[in-house]
Amino acid sequence: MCGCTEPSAIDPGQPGATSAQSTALAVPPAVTPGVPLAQRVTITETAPDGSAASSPATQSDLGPAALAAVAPALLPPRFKFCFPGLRSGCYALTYQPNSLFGFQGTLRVDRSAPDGGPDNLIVSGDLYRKPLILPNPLPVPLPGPIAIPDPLPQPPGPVESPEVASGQVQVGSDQPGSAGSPSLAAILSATEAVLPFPLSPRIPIYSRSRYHSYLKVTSVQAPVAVPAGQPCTVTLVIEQYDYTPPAAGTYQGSFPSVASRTATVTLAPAPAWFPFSGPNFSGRWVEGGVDKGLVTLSWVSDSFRRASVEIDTLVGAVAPQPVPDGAGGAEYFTTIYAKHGWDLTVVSDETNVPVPAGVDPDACWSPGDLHNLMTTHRNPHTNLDTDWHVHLMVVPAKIGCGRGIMYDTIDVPREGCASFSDDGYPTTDSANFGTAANKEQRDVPRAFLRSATHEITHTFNQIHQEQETTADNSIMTTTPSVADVLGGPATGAPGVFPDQINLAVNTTVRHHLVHMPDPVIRPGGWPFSSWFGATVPQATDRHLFAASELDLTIAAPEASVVLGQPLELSWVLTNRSAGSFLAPTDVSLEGLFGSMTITDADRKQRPFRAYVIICDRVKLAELPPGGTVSASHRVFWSSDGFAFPRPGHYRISVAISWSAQGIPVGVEQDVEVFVDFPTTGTDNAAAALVLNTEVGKWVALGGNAYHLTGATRRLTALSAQTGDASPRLIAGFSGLLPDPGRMTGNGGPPDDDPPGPRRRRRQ
Amino acid sequence: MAGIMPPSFLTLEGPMPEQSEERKIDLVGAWRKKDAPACAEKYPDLLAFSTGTYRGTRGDTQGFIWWDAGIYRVEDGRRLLLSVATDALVAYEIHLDGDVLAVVDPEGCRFSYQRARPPG
Repeated sequence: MCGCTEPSAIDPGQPGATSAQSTALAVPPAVTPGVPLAQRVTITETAPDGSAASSPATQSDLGPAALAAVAPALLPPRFKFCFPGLRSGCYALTYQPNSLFGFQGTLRVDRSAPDGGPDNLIVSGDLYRKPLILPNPLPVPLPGPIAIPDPLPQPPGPVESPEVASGQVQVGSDQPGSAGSPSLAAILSATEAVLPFPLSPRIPIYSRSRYHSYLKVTSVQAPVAVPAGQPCTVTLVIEQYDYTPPAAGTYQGSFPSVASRTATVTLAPAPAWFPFSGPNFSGRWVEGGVDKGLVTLSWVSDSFRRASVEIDTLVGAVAPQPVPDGAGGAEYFTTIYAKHGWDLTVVSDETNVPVPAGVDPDACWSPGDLHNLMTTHRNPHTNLDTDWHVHLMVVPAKIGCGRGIMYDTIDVPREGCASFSDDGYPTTDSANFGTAANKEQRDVPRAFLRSATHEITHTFNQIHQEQETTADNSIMTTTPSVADVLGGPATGAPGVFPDQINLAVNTTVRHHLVHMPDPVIRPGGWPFSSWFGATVPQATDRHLFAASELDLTIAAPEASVVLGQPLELSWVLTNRSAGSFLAPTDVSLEGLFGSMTITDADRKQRPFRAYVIICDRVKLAELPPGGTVSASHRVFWSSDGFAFPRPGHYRISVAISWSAQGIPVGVEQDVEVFVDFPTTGTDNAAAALVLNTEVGKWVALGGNAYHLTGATRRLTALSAQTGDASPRLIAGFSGLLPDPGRMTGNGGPPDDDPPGPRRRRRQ
Repeated sequence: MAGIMPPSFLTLEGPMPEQSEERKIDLVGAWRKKDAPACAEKYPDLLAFSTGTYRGTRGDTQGFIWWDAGIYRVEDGRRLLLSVATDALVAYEIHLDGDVLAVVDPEGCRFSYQRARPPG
């Protein structure tokens, strides 16, 4: 039994159990996250006449018992006291504007935030677009989803509501019956009861692709009393930050640096619909005095967020186990996460996972081997759009491997991490490991549990506290630093490693885990640490077509080019639906409906714009079923510079965007290319020859720009290298090289063939 | 698809000079970044090695640093194994010449640190 001095474990099921059980904030964060993040707010009480009543109330001031005790003596009979019921926890949130599109999401009312000011209050939320329901002009052939009554406006997770019913079509890709989402027929045919939504409400989880905006509550107002017969209301002032979604195949979108808009939402208690049983509110979303729509809030949980951890253990390894909490109970991943208000489900899945061929399980593991192990052993039904799922792989490894790793910066970000049971606590890492010195993790359960929790918390995009605040006795400080904080000569928290290890995150990490925007935190969201000083370009909001409606395909002649070689890229927009759409008649970059973004290996994104604008005849017109619009572009140089200034991997994203009845809509697609290193002197010299701004302009103009005398000379020199000495990049200049017969003495002929990019085709 | 090879043509320097394996490298002490191309932006401006652990410190204008805190060891006199921000143990080629520590990362990025004060 440990002699823990930290706060004792809590009952995660107890209301309010998510209180400030994190390491106190001794040092403020050194950085401000580059994403919107709710901060503390105070509750302003208003008198019956609407004026501010008194100084901000404390949390206890707002308790019903306190108010009830003084009510009869203070109020005339024509008034009644209000008992603000904005209970701590997560609420299912819906916002139905006075338009076609609706939103659903969560609101986290955190009334126990250690950094929440005098009221310990921070409130934040996230909104997702609801699937758009449109009347289907054509009969829907069977088999298909059958009509069912929708008993709830917005049933909470774990699956999205089955909005699709007979006679309706769903805009978007989240079709029932697709992978990870069972059809209604399958649900009804299951041998065990599987309901489309649980009887008890759970914290909703929505598809990443539908993320819309982050909500930061900046003010909470609640009346002390109201005239008899009027409802007690709560008024929230909400800053909404619209999200620019990531390009297809990438994971980091962006938020604006300032709020997209500010809304005032006044909520009144409303009857709770089944299965909701907690506080329920409805009210109006008002912007600048204009009523924009209906808001509902339905309390679903004491916790703020939920996630699951699947643990697989390699043969010969031992997984972390629960440890005594010092008060007769136990601590485990679930209770550690409950301390900061997360409902974590742990599934101890496979044990004795076989050692992969060619891998030494007792050596330090590579990220690639661990990623392969995860992909072959993780629950095949894992769906990051319905479950914030983390995979923890436990392998033996050995002393000196670092105790664990958040290896997964591969492909989809932050799906998994690993813990090393046979690694441990060598005195070379710290002189303060105490009784754990030189032992393996499997023999030091408390430190092992801490270390594994550290890796899991990395997968929720949290970083080492040595970088963000300072080393402390909390989960996200590295293990040697924790030992040194406990046992060092100048620590503020003297203690003994491992018994006094604090199994909790600190206040900064708690704040992030509870209030950072969903895409930043959830597995499969933003890349690790990318919120740190992230850039915040202006937001746009775009509704994407499903590939079964309008499909955009991109073709590159080769998957790689050599440094300095233009890449001929072509794309086709195809109407794959049974009906016509209004779509651009020109999808080229020059027509401005098309746009291109290039992401390099460092994940830096740059727009790639057309050098020439040709949009005088571009318009929206009917694109019939099967109809196509195509365009191409030689990707080499734009006014923002060269597309591929150095060798390496690049992702090129093409988007076609337009406005449909005032709503931004579009399609996106991307393609990967690799830019080869020059491997010969000829290739190197050729790259030096063409990576020149004038040559860039020549290519952007489609050639024939003989007034660019520098480009003409360089390309003439390039074209002189023929035969075996021909550089590889010359293939990209096909049709672009100067014609010696047309050159004048100063480099170019009369411009009888106006330059211009190749145009697009519509069929 | 071609793989990425260390591009010596991209740098002004040549390959890392050979270093005696018998030579013991002691990194303990404080270091300040000296030569750093753009590819080395993710490495801290200040670096402090203790016995077995290190701590990186961001410069005033730096963003997230990949070497923030963790463990390290030198193998074979020219291979630095260091745990990065994800706790991954990454191998770097190093060469110590007097008070200058030259480093090549797995992507071929070359940068160096100048010892800020003697160890101890």
